[in-house]
Amino acid sequence: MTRTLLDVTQVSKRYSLRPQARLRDATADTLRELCGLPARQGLRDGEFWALENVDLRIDAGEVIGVIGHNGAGKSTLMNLVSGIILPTTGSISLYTDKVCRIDQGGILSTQETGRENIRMQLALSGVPVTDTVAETDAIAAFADLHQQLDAPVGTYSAGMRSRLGFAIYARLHPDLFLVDEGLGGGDQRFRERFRGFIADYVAGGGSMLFAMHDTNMIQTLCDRVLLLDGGRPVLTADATTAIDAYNRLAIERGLPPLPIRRPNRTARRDQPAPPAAPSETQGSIVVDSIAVVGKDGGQPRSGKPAEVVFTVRATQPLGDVVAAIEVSRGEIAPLATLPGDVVSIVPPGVTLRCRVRCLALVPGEYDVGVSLYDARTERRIGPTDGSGRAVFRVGPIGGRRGDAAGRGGLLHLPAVWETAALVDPVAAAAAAFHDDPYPTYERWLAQPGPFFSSAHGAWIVSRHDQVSALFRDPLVTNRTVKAGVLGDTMLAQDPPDHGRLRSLVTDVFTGAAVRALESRITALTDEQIDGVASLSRFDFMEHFADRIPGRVMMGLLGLPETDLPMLAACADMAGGPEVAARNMGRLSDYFAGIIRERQSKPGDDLVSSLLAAHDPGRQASMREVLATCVLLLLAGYETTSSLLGNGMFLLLRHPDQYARLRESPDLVGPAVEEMLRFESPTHFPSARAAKEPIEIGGRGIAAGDRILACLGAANRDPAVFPDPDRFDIGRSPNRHLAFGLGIHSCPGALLSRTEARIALTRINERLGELHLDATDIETFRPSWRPAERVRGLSSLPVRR
Amino acid sequence: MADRLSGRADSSQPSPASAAADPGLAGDLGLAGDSGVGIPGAPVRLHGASSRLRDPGRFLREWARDAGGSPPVAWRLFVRSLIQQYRHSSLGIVLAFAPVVLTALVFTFGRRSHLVAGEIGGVNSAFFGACGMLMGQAFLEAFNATRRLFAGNQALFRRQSLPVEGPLGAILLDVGFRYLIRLAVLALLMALFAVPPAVTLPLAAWGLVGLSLAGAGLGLLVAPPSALQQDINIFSSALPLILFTVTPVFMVPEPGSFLGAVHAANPLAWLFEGVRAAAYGAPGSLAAAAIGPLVALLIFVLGWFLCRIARPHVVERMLV
Repeated sequence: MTRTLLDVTQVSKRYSLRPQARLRDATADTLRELCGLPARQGLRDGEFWALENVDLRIDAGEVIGVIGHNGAGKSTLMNLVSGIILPTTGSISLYTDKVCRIDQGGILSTQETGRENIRMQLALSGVPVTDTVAETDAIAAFADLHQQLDAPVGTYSAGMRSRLGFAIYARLHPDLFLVDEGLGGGDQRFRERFRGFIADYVAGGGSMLFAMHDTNMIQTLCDRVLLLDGGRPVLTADATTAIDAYNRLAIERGLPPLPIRRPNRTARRDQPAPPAAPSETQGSIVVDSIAVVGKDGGQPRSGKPAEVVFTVRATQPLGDVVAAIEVSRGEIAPLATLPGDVVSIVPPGVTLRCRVRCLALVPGEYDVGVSLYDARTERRIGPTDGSGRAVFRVGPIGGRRGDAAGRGGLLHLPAVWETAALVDPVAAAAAAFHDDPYPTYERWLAQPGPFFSSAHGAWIVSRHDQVSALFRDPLVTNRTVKAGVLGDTMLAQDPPDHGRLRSLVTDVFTGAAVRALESRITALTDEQIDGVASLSRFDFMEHFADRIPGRVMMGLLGLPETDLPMLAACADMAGGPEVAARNMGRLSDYFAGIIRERQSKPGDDLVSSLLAAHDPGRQASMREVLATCVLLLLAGYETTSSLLGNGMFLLLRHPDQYARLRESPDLVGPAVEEMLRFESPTHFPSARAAKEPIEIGGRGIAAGDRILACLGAANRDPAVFPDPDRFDIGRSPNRHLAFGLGIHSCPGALLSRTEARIALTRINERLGELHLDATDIETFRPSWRPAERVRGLSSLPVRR
Repeated sequence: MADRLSGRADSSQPSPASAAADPGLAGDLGLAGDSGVGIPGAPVRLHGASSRLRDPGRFLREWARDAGGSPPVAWRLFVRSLIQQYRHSSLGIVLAFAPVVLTALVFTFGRRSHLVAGEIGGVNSAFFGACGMLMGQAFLEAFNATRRLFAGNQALFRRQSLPVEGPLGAILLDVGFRYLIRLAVLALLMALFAVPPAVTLPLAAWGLVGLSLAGAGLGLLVAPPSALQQDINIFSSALPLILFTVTPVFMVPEPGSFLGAVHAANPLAWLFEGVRAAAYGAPGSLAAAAIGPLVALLIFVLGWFLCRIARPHVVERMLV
């Protein structure tokens, strides 16, 4: 007979976004309960349904996944099932008390020793004190922590902490595991070990409620998947159907989709499909041509960007393969691991490129090893011949951050992966487009009107007049993003909501306000110049383009500059959908904390001003305030950073224009406009959709169809810009669309222009002429960030 | 052992996960199971929108189960608290009775400088002050510890369905530990100042329990709002001043004066005087020392009940 473990019946949960009302609400709820009354129904001002009418049942041996965008209600459901909070309506029945929750936050106290942490976790799990001594030893042995067991966990490396947490979970043997993004931490080996443990647990008949963005695990393990959207259950189906539905929602809202592996998992326990021996079905897998190079193709340098490039040659097609790089040094292994995305390999093979933004290794010699794993079974499948290893040397110099290796523990090397098939024209075309999209834009511009791109699932509008008309068309809506933080920004609103939200920030970007900031921007630029005064070579992105806009925006928002590196990392949405979703979540959490802080202690900054608009006049909801903060950071930082970097790169690539600017500093204004036109920071602004059937350039576009404007193409439209592929800092008129047009034009355009103008002027004045730090300027291949919509450099090596 | 550890409602249905994952361990180490509700086929845990008080029997059974299961957690939290207090402190346990010693020293100095009366309440004023400080500490420390029941254990409450009994048990262990220190200090003070103990001295020990319970109970009553409203914390910082004014901590007001009337109307003052009376025969009501702790126990149970009801509502607001 089937044994039910969990029964969730018509559960809803209401939250309030008003922290100032929390005492009132908690008191009211407590008093209602004391009076024997059920929870109050309906919503009051500032309240919303975090979860609505969710039904769920888990029987023994079942694994149920929960997916949804950030804010979909996954964590709320976990909190409810855990009993941390109570439902507003419905009921949750647990038919076992042996429930264990794994979440990303970790379970360890850094002040206590490993032994004390183990005992605390065992106690919290109900294990009697008398049994904890023996169990502590067993867990310590399992985690391989005998030597460090009595040291505070704060002294442990990330790997040791992961091992300890995992060892504790592994000994608990609950009837039901609640996993809330539990594999977020740790290195690749730990994650594999944990995945193996979970797989064994499930294979042994264990039950699990599983909220995770890891589609591979969801597809591999889950019997059913519940898709939540805005707190509401959309469907409960098999994993592939649910992820498909999730991705349809994501596309509708312009959010990143989840990767999906096909075919779907076959019956997990009923039809196990262990991989055959690689030699039989997978043929030979060879990893060769491993190269670790610096940003200019030379020796990688400490604290600087680097690339690991290697070739995987396969004799048989391989689906769903994960490549992982391990960096080690002598007997210490590994120092860092870099797991890649799931890829498919078609003979003869692929070239994989892993871009590390900051090589946090001290100078010296290192070993690099590449392994390939079957994404479904987590088993290592290659290389099959002992290849895949190389030695590389990290050169001196660089950066303040380049001193991390050797402290012990595992390093985090922020990396982005790229895959290029050895003979794959589609991938080659995509890579070529990424490096230089303008030949493609030229073809688009040659077309009389928009065309539908199945790759983007949208109409592409590229001609200047048509983009302008699109931006001004009242029959076009920006409400294409409905969920998540971005859905609450002014970007995703139409009038009147758009005007209401935009008015919150317009005061900050008026001419007078920006003029008042000029002295600060000048001072910041001078500080950055002082920082490179003694350097003959430096990365322009690191020292100027990334720093100046970041520091200006931090100042406006009243945030500590020490948080800038963390926020800059979060603002980087180029690491794939999972990274983007995680980063967006981190930004939201960060600003939620800042907002709480400013509520209790208002300051003279933009966040406090936004909160002031929230409270008395009800001009903006708390979600909207938070979303506006995130938007300001993303828009204010990334686009201006790209403008500065692209601008300097253009000057370096066009020495005649550079000399012209140095000779006539007054040209800096038009020069910035030409930089914006020629290499626009944003190529594809947020998607729009037709509210009613419309016509653009003679093409009929149906109501509901998504439309993407290509600013990069529009700004090279020969109908508006004579000789559009010529970079001319004196170009006039220059009616480019880099900052958009109409009601959604960038409100911070003036600030961005001012930052670029001041920075370029001061750099010219104080540093003199800069040069590209490359052996051959003509063949120099810039390192464009792997983002589709924003065009900016990840590094720009220069010398004086 | 399996029964003792897990005590499942239906022991004929072993955990599939535990049995499969590690048959050898499945019976030895399980998570805390439940038989508290004890009704076959009924859920072990039921989280609903209805008031938990609508089924008083179930509420009481769950309360008893959580209280019975709390000692391991309480012990670990108590050990953690001791570590946090004393691991990085050179003075360690000395700090627990330093205020009493300092009070005695200040009063001794005050007597020699004729700033303080030689005797208060029929005993050496230094002894009187030190005793008052000891009792005041017993009340205040218990109050402040339970007042921070939610705020001080936020990290745990936000991540686990932790019954209040675990942290509360840790607080009681801490209060008990300090109580034992206080008894020793009281004995030392009596020897030092040559104050002969009364035959009712055990009643004084009972009265001290009452003071701690009264502090803990009142702290529990304000713990839920205190976790959500900073103003209550600010008010609490002024509490010692109020306490030392309205209770005979350092002085005995003239009967008939305004302060005397306040003291006379203050149940806590009765308890202070009762403890003194029981300890060394000072003027005061022995009945207060005998009955006061029972009333304090009632307040404590009321506060405990309130916190148990309020926990999910408070934790929900701490998540935001």
